[in-house]
Amino acid sequence: MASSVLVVDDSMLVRRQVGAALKGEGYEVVEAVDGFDALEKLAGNPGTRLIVCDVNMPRMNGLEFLEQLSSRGNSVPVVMLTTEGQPELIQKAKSLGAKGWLVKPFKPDYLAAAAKKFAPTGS
Amino acid sequence: MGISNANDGVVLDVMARHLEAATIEMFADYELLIHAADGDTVSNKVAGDTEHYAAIIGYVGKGIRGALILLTESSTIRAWLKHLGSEDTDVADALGEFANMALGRLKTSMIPEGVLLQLSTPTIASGRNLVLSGPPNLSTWLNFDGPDWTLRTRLDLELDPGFELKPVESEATPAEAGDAFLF
Repeated sequence: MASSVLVVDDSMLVRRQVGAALKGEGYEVVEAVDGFDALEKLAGNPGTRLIVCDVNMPRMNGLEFLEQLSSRGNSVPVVMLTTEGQPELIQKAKSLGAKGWLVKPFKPDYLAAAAKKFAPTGS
Repeated sequence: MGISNANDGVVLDVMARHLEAATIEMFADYELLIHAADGDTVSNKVAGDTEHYAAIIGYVGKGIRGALILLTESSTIRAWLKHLGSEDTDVADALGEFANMALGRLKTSMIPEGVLLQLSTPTIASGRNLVLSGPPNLSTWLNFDGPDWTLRTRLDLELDPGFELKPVESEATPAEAGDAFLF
């Protein structure tokens, strides 16, 4: 069974591009439009192996989502995918448990490398 | 462009220069080659009766606030999506994401200038004969020509009295588009 990746971004364009890149590597992709939606999708997909998450989103942003995951004891690895490059934000995400930080527009090879590191296919 | 004092004009010029470079680089990353066109002032009422889309994102920092508007015809966005192989994507969503990436790059460029900005999420307006709100005193249009389309951007800026750029040298370099870090 393919490893499942949850892609969290308020932009359909980004979700589709990330989804296409990951499906090409053999992953199954579930989409969420913000942090709230992601928490619901995560609850409905307990087999999720990796989360790719935007930072700036309405309702619940990516850093708030990381806090929610931490408070719930959820250890699914999260890689942030964002336009943000501010070092303080990167450090904050890292301190909240994020496993990676990719700046848009992403390079599909880098995304695939992150996915393979944290959610090896076939495992 | 209306300037209330010389320093305010310097800030706007610096931001406009960064935005111009950021926009060109952003499209280049998608292999869409564009160049800066004459910066004509666009009327608040967008001329013509073709369908246009405008993406508006606000930004705020200490003593500084404003908005970025990306404005173009719907056919332009469809051309971008075709180029990206994402023709099934909503055009409003796509323009919002391009605005988000352009402003995100501008934000990164402003960090060494001593300015930390926070960004809102995009708001989209669309239709024929769009009317934009009037610009503040500090505002400038930057236009870009693609192969057969034009993108217009308006950068609005408001500054607290006495605001100045204070370039900083930080040991931590901001991450740039395409960068990837695994922890």
